[in-house]
Amino acid sequence: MPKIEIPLKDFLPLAELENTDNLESLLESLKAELDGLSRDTVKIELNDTNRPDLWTSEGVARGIRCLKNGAEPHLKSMKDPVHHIEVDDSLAEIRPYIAAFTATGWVVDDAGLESLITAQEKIASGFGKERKTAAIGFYPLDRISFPVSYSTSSPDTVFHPLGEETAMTLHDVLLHTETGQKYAEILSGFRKFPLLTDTTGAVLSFPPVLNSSTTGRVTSGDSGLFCEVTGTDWHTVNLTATILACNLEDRGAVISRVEIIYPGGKTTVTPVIYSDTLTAAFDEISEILGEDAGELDIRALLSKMDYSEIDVGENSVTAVMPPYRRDGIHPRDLMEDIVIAIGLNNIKPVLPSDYTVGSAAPVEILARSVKALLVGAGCEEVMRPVLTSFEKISTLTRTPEPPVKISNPMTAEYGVVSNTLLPALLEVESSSGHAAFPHRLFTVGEVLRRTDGRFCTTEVNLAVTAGDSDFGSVHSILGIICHLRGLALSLRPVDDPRFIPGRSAAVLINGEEKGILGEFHPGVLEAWGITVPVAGFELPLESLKV
Amino acid sequence: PLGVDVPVIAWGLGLDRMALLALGLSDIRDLLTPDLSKLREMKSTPEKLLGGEVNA
Repeated sequence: MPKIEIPLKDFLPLAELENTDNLESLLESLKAELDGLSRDTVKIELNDTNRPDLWTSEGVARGIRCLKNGAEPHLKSMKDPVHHIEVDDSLAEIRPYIAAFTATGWVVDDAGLESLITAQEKIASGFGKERKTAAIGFYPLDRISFPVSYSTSSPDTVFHPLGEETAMTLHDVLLHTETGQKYAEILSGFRKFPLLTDTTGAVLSFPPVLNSSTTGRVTSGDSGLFCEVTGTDWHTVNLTATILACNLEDRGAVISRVEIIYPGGKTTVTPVIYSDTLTAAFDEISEILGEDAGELDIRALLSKMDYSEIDVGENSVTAVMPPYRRDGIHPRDLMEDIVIAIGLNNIKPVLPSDYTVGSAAPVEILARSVKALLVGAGCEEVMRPVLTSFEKISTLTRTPEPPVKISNPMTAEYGVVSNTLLPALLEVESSSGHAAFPHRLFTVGEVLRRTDGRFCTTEVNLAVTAGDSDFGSVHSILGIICHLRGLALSLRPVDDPRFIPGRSAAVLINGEEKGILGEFHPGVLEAWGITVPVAGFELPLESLKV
Repeated sequence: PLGVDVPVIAWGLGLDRMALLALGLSDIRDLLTPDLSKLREMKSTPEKLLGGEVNA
C-alpha cells in the first residue's frame, strides 16, 4: 500500500494541526496508518486502494480538515478554458486519452514540488497501472505556446529528455534511459510513439516516459503550471486530473480548465467535476449500525466526509461525493462513510441476543470415524490443495473424466479444480521415494464433478494409495474398513486408463457401484517419476456411511 | 450482487500463519510439501503457537 513521506512544516499547516498528538487516530478515519514520525517528517501508509486521492499530502490533509471542520468547496471557481489541446487520431490504438488544466497564482515551493513528484509516482504507479492507464506530466506554464498538440511521432524524433545530458531519439530513450527501459513495454509493438508538442514545435514530453528538459522541468519558484494526464483508460485519466486539480487548488492555485479536442471534432473540457450521488434509507442505516439512524446528525457526519448537497429526507438521505472520489457504487458506501465519521472506536460492542452453538458437521463426524479406522489399518493422512493442474489430473494420471477448469487462473499450477484425489496422493508418492516404507497414504477431501451441462457439484471423497504395493494390499485396507463398519464390499472387473488392464475393478458397497480400485499403470508411474508399483482406491466418503 | 441480500463478512482466519507457528516453520511452502519424510517430521506443538516464537 502506498507510503508517503511529508515534511511536518508543510503537513501541519496544510492539515490545520497544531501538532501530531491526535494524528494517529485521525489517520485511522482515512484508512491510513502512521508509519513513522521524526522531528521533521511524517510517514504515512495508505491502505485504501479505492482512494488514490489520499495518496498525497494534500489528500490526507484535506481528509483531516474535513473530519474536523466539515465539507469544503472543490473546483467551484475554475476559470473557463482559454487554452486547448488537439488530439491526433493516430493515438487511437496507442494512448488515446488526455486531460489537462493550468494552475496559476501559487508559487511552487520545495514541499509543493516534492508533493507533485510523489503524486506522479504513487498515483501513476498504483492507480494508473504503472503509467499504462494514466501517467502525469507537469510543466512550467510560461514555456508553452498553446494550443498544445497531442500526437504521435516517429521513433527517430529527437528531443532532449529531462535528466539526460544530450538529446536523443525516442527510440533511444526507451533503450538507454532508466525510465525509458522501465516503461518501454507500454509502447511495445507500436510504430509511432505519443508526443506532446506546442505550436512552436517544441517537444513538451514523450508520454508516458519523460518530459523534455527545456519545457518540462518544474522548479521551486515557478508560478504557473500546466498539468496533463495521458493514458489508455478514460476514467482513470480524468479522475487523476481532477484529483490533481483539487490538490493544487488546496495549495492556493487558481485552476483554469482546458478544452480537449478529439479527432472527429468531439471535445471535452477538463478537469471533470465528478459528482456521484448516493442515497441510503434510514431503516437500512439503523439496521447496519444497530442504533436508530434518526438519532444521528447525519448531515454533520457526511459533511465530515466531505459530502455536499446533503439532503436529509423523511426516510432516506441523499448526498453527493466530492469530485476526487469515484468509489461510491452502492448505498453501503454512503453508510460506510457515516460509520467512519462516527468513528469505529465510538461504536459500542454488544453481545448478540440470539446465537447458535457450533459443532462438527455430519460429514466431519463420518470422516473422523473412517479416518480413525484407516489409521488403525496403518495408514497416514495427508492433506493436499484442492486446486491442481490439468497436467496432474489428466496427462500424468490419465483420469478419464476431465476436471473443471478455472477461467482466469493465477497460474496453470492451480488452473483446475480436482475431480479426483488420487493424483494428489501420486504426487506425494512421487516426492517420497526416499521416505521409509511402507507408504500407505489416505486423504479425505472435496472434489468438483460436472453433473450435466454447465452444472457441477462438490463431493467429499476418500482416496488411499499404497506405495511398493499391489492390488491385494489396498483391497485388504478397503476390506477391513467395510468389515468393521458392517458394509458389504464386492468388486467387478472394469477397464480404466489409470490402471493395469486386468488389475482394475469397480468398487461396490452393499451392491451399489461407488468407486474404483486398481494397480496404477506403469505409464502413469513413469509419468510421475515413481519407481515403485502403486495401488489405490477412491470412492465417495458417504458410501461408507452406516 | 449475485442474488445475495444479507450482510456478508469475508474473514481471513490466518490459519496458515498459526500452522507455521505451531509447526515451527518459516516458509509457507513447507505447508504444501508433498515430501512424506518432511511431513512425518512435522509435529504440532501448541505451546509454540501460544508462545509466538518463529523460526526465521
